[in-house]
This record gives sequence, C-alpha cells and structure tokens, in this order.
Amino acid sequence: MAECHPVGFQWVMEAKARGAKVVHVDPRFTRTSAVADLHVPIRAGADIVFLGGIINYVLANEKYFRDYVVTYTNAATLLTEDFAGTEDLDGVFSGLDPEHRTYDFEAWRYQGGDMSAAAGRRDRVDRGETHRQVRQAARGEAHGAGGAAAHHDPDRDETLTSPRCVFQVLKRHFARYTPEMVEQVCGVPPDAFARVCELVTENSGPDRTTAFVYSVGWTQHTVGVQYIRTAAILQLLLGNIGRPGGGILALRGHASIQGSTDIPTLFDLLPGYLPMPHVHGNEDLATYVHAESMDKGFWANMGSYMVSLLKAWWGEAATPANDFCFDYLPRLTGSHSTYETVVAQINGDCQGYFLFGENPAVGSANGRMQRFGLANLDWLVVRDLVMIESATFWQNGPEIETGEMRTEDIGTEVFFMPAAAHTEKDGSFTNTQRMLQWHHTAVEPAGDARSDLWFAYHLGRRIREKLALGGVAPAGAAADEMDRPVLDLTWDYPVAGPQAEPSAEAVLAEINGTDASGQPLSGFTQLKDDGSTACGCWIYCGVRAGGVNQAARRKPGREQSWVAPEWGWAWPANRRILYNRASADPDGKPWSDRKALVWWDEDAGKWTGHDVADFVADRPPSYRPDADATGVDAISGVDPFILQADGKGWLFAPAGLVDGPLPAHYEPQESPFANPLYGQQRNPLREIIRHRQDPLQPAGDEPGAQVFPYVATTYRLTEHHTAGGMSRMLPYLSELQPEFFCEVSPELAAERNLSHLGWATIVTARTAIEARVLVTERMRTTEVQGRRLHQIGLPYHWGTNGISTGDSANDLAHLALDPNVHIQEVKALACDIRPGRRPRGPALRQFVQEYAERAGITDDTGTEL
Amino acid sequence: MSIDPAARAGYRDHPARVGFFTDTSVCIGCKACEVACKEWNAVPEDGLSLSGMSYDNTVGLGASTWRHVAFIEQPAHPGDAAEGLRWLMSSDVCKHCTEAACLDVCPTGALFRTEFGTVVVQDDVCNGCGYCVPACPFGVIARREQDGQAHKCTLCYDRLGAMPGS
Repeated sequence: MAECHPVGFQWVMEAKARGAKVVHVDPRFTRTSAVADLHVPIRAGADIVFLGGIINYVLANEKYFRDYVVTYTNAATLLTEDFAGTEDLDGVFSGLDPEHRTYDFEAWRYQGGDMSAAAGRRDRVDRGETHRQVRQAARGEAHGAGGAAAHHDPDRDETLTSPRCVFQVLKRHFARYTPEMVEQVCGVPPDAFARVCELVTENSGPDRTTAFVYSVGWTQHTVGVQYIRTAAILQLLLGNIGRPGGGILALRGHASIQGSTDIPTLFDLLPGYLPMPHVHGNEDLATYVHAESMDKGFWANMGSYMVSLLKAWWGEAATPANDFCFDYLPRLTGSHSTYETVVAQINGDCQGYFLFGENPAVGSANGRMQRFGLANLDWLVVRDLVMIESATFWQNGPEIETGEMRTEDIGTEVFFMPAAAHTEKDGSFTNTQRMLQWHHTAVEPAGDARSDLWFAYHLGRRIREKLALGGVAPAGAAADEMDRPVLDLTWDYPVAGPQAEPSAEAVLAEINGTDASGQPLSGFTQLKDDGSTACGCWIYCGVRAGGVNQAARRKPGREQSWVAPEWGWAWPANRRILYNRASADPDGKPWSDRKALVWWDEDAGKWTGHDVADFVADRPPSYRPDADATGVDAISGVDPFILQADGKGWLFAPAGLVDGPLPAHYEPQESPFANPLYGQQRNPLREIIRHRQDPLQPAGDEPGAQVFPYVATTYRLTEHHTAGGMSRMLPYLSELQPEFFCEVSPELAAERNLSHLGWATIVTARTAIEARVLVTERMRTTEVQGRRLHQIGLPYHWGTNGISTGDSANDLAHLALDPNVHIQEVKALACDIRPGRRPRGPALRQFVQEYAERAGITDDTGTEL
Repeated sequence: MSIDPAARAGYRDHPARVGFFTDTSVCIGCKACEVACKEWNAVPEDGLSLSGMSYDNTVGLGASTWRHVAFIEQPAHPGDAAEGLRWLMSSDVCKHCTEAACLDVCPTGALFRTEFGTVVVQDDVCNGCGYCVPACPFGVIARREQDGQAHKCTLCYDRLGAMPGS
C-alpha cells in the first residue's frame, strides 16, 4: 500500500502511531514491509491456503465471534443433501459439468428454498444452451439476480451442530488447511503463521476490529474472486464486517476506478451495478426485472432503479407504452470483455476501437496479442495526455523489431486526440471508500486538448446531427428506426467557455436524478418505476440533494466527528461504512462502547449514531417480517446484509460465483508446483482465451514444466504510474526509477549467474523480455513443497516510448482469466531467467520457439480441466 | 544560551527561525519530497541512470538535487519486521547550519543568512569559484554544469513569507 497509495498510507501510519499493528503479507519486502510490524513473505498464488489456514485456526480454536456469526451470517443455514464439496470430490464441488466447464447452482441450494445472489451470476433463465450463453456473459460484477422463490427464510440450526449446516460444512472444508499445509504451499514458516493468527484473533471481537487491505495482488489470479471470498469468510467469522476499523478494503487504485465501475466502463454493467441485459432471458423490461431482481431487500426495487435510468437517458421518449425505451439498450450475447475483444480484433470482427486513458500495449496481459489486435483494426482512436505505446505500435512496437509486423502493411488508421488532465476540467473522483470528491478546473487545457466529457458530448452531438439529416430530430420525426436510440437520447447539457465545455455539474444533476417536476432527488428510496423519476445512477442518488453538490463539500476534519460526513459524499446515502447494522448487537446496542458506530434509539424510534445507518431507518431490532413479506418489508431487524436475499453475510455462497460456493486452493494456470491439497490442479472453471498467440505452459508435475521453474510476479513502483504514460514521459519521475529492472534474491542470482546491475532475460511461452538486475535480500527464496522456490519481481511500467523506456513485463503474461470477472493472472507466472540481454529481430522469436519445443508445448497444453 | 544566527547576522525583529525536521520512523520512501522540490524550484533533471543502490537513483545532494531520499537495506535488528531484514529510508537536505561553512568561505557574499536563519545563494552574485563546495561537510552544495554556479536548497525562501504567523 505504501508503494501504490503513499498518500492514503499516511492513515495507516497514523493508526500505527496510535498502537495499531501492521502486518504485511507479500512475496516481496517492499516499502510497506519497511514500516510494518511483521512482514510475511508468501509464494505468489498461494493466498487461499494462507487465509484458509487462518480460518481453520479460528474454527478449530473457537476464536470466532459467535453471537455475530449465529445471527448475522448464514452459518446456521442448512444445505440440501445434494451438496458435496472438495473433501468428497477431490477438489471440486457437486454440479460440475466437465464438458461445458460450468457448475449447476442447484446442487448448492439452501434447504428450504432457492437463493439468488446479491452479486455475480444470476441463475434464473432456462436450462440448456441459452443458459450456458448467459453464463458465459458472466456479468460477475453485477448485482441483482434472478427472482428468488418466495422463501427467504431457509432452514437453520442455531446450535451450529447439524452436519449440513454451513458452519459444519465450513469446518470440514477448511480442515486440511493446516499450519503444515501453509508452510508447505505458501513457504510461510510456522512461527510467522502462528503470529499472524494470534494478532488477528486477539484484535477481533466486540472490543476490537481488524481490517484487511488488498489490491490486485489478490484479484489478478484465475481464482482472484475466491481470494476475496476467503477473506470475507474470515472477516465474517471474526465479526469484522460492518464495523469501524474492520472490513475488507479494496484499494481501487487508479484515479476514480471505483467510479469507473459505479458509472461503468465495463461491458456487463449499467450504472449502479444493474446487469447489462442479455439477449436471452431479458427480452423486455418486465422479464428483465423479474429475472434480475430479488424478492427481498433493496434489490427488490430494481424496477425503479432501471426505469429511472431509462428516463434519465431517453427522457420524453421513454414511456410506459414502449417499456421506457428498454429495447434501445444493447444486448449481450456472451462475454465481451477486453480479452475477447482483442481476439475479435485479430479475427477481423471488431473493426474500431476507442482507448480513453488506457494503454493496453503495456498495461494488459499478453502485450503481443494486444498489438496484433490493434494492427488489424480499421480505425483506432486514442485519447491520452501523451503519445502512448498503444498509439505507436505500428511504428515502434516490439513486433516491428522482430519483423512480425511491417509498418507499411498495417492498415489501422490511428487518431490521436490529446486529452485534458484532471486539473483542466471539472468532475469527480470516486475513491475506495465509495466517496465522491469533486474537482474544479484550475487551468484551461492547452491547444487541442479536451476533456473526456467534451469529447463524448460533441461526438454524440455531431453524430446526432448527421443522423437527423441536419438537425436534432424531434421525437417521432422521420429518421431511420435504427437511429432512434441515439436520436432520442437526452443530450441537452449546457456548454460554456471558449471550448464549449459541457457542464459537469449538469451531468452530476442528471446522475443524482430529478422528480416529476424536475426537482433534485435526495435518495434512492424516492425512485419510482412509473416514469415519474429520472436518475442516472441509483446508488449516487443524493449526491446533489437540495441542488447542492455534496461531493464538493470540504468541511475540515477537525470541525467534524471522526466519521467526517461533511467531506465529500459517499454512496449510498452518505453511509461511510456499509452493513453498519452489524456494528450493533441483535438488540441494537453497540457491541462495545469503543466500537460504537450506529445504534437503535428506542425513544426516537430510529437508528442513530456517528454514521448514517445502512438499514431501514425506523426498523426496530425486534422486527420480524411476515412469511409473505417482500422487498424491503422482508428485511428483519437482525439482517445487516440488506442486499442479500436472506439478509445474512454469506460464509457459503449458494449462488453468484461461478467457480464454487467456497474457496478452494488451485494452483495458478502456470505453476512449478502440483496442487498438494487436491487432485484438481487448477480452477476447473477458469476462462481460457484459446489462441495461437497465447500458448500455455505445462505446470506442476507435467513433463516440460521444469523448463519454467521460477515464479514471476508483477507489481508497481511508487515512482511510476501504471503503463507509464503519466510518469515515464516526465523527467522528474523518470530519473527516480530510470530503467526497467527485475528483482532477484542472492540465491537465484548465484543459481542463474545473474549480476547486480547486469542484464537478464526473462522467458515465458509468450515471449522473452530483458531487464537490468537488482540483486536484493528483499526477494526471499523460500521453501515450498520441499524445494527452494525463487521468485522474480517485475515492475510492469515500461514500454517503448518516453524518457525512460524498456521492455514490458505484461508481454510475458497469458490469457487464462478468472471466470467471474475476466481478470488476467499476472501475479503468479512461471518463467525462466537467463543472464544477458535478449536476442533481437527474428532471433527473438526463434529463442522463444526453442523454449516451447523444450517444454513440449502444443495447442492443447494447459487447457485441461 | 543558543545562538540566533539571524540576530547574529544583524536582523532585528526577525521572524522565528525555521529548519527541516525529518521523522525517519514514518518515512515510506515515496520521494514526493524530491519531486515537489524540483517542481517548485525548477531544478533540472540531473541523471537517468540506474545506480544499483537499492531504490535510490538520486545518489546524493548536489546543484540539481536539493532533496535526496536514501535507501539502506540492512540485516534486521531485534524488533524489526521479521525474517532478518530492515529497509531504512531517510530524506536528506541542506541543514542551513548555525555555523555554516559555505557561508563562512564565500568570497563574494553570494551566500547570505536570511531573516529566517536560513542560508541562501544569490544567483546574480555567485561567480562560480567553488570554494563553498569542499567547505560543506555534508556534500550539499555544488556547481551546476549548465551555468557554472553554485546552487542549493533555499528552504523555500519564496514560500516562507506565506506561512501563518510569519
């Protein structure tokens, strides 16, 4: 965190100054480790074993927060007899279809009723081929799921002793995640592991809370989502969710990346995590709402959120008679994630591409495929501050050097549109805490540089003018029917200034939403499904309550409570800690005075406290819904997890994650090790983008795996920023870290004859890259499964352009992805390393080919279940 | 009684003395201090080479580096973060000495004591003789190749007047 979020890290140091203990678990000793109380070096790709080991410790030693677990989680819920887990099936779960590589959620059901997920995969469409297609679209990031059966009160055993209750299933599942297994698989010595278990459990309970903080070190794996799940199970057992100082904090690192999923730039989401409709199962608005919403909790109002969104986008044209223009929305036919799109580009199915502040030639996995895709487009529009590698691949990409591409043969027409920086425009950032903070234009952009808002607005305006035969077409005017979705959009933002910059404040007002008379709304509970409200993003409703830009508030912390609710605005409803009902006991009293956050005020008949309660404001703890209650009425007084169908935190996830209701350790796609826990080597549901430009390596005990005996992991340095466009082009940052280097331990340097400040070549089946060598004790050689494991550190910032240039680490990476969210596995790659610089020109491809031959790589290698 | 360098230099009713205090126990080695100093003072980039000295590619103070973060990797001491290793970070800068050797040896009067007790080089007086360079025991001041003159930290003389209470 200190490396990647140095400014945010000051608060960790403040906490440390007040006595907090900081534990840093990372393959490398970084600037975070330097100030931590404990650093635990871990093998990259082994975190489920590590966290699972802590869970096992908590269960075996009865260190869980029992009252919290029994009432607020699904620990007591009973599963059906159909469920069989990894203990029974050597690493997989019941319901696996090995031919199609899917799980049938039926086998994971609760006894007493269907359960649908608050997040992730919905499962309500028909079975068979369309079912499979819907699954492939994943839409793992979306909330809302198929309408659950009326039962939202599954059978429970609050003694937690029944063999089929989730608690006992959990115990059986994690029983093999022992300290010995942690030592063997993770390379973590028993005393360090024991210390972590003690620190975490001593600091959790009614009086104390522990927080876990993570970023892409956890997500960028073929089991990335299951990593987070493991942490969620642990934190629920310890009673750390919904409480101050607790939680699992995803550091959404890039500026406003949280905002970029809230108001999404993802193919499978609509604003506020509504699922993008699929061509099957979401044929019209009513079917969509039925399929995607839930009977209980706040997702029951999905119809209101959706209709209000449609009214925001299509205004007057959206009426009850035409389903509020629901049909104007594009439909998914499968997964259209970035990596599928690259394949579509190479195949010629995708002809045009916009890159807004994104540099996939450096930042995305398998850089070669990215560039082959770009080279096969008809047109490419790049909007950025500087001339990034994705704009110049045709001129100086690595494939020009190898001879695989020739500039004169590349037909892509590249448009480079300079972009305004954040200081040159109004707008908001949404950070890790879901807090929106407004920023104001400090200087006008120079020359042709324009903001993204300017670009999108004026591009849309000009397209509409062309489509409307010279003017904005009024609704109903004669225009091609297929152009109506564009022509009917509300596109009337005021513009100002010499560049005719659209008003960001007006966009914020649209996002906040308005009632039938055009007045700003103050909260999402005001949204209706009859077309009387408009709202561009239901979770942001209230950001402009009263017509005041709440995100622009800057009341200093010293003039407010420790929650500081008047700095910025957090969604939803300015709640600063989600699920904070869990910070009070079943009677509505805080679990302890020192951890008080919200509590029930019996006299006032409402929840009160330091934070806005993430609960129905006037719902007493004693409230129990009638059996036929639906929607918000079905949330009981002890259901803190108001977006879950059963109101409980899910230790066991009966739906939502495609690759298992519980996390199981699988080795990374490419690993020098066989899975010692189960016969199942890798995630059986991992998504593999099969392509001849993405050869995969043998792993574990397979013949040829020893050709790539080391584990490489990618990461960031403080001095550089992502793909380098904002740092390697600047002298003051380039001089701080002027060259691409790899970090190796002294033992690895000796084994492979690498010298400090010399050169090394790192090789995978995809390509070979070169880097300067830093030999350092901070890279530890650990003992894993009886062997010395060497890990290689690769900062991924470099590319061909700028003041500081170098090879790109992501060129080594493959395209086996997490199946829930399609993210690439760049945190654990198997590789080889050799002293000296890499071959150049066609000799580079020859060199890589020789490795492939030695490893016996075929088109099918690595694709087994 | 401690010495008041500004008073000794002849200022009456001068503002409070200022200096830099660096708490190395909370330094995370982010180098924002190096970058901010260069940005504010328009100090040129002065070297794009990998030093091999841990994450320290700045190497030392000089005419075009007025802030330098040192990184020292060492075997662990008792109480450190596990497995035998510690990584020390410290941000180095001109100390604006009470007894400033550079000030003492400067023949032109280019170096002078300010009302804040700091030591500053005047660009339009310095003749580039270089006497100050060996005089400094900390290796802070040096001559810049581009203009032949001595340059060093000004303790943001142009920002001090904006401080509350100053």
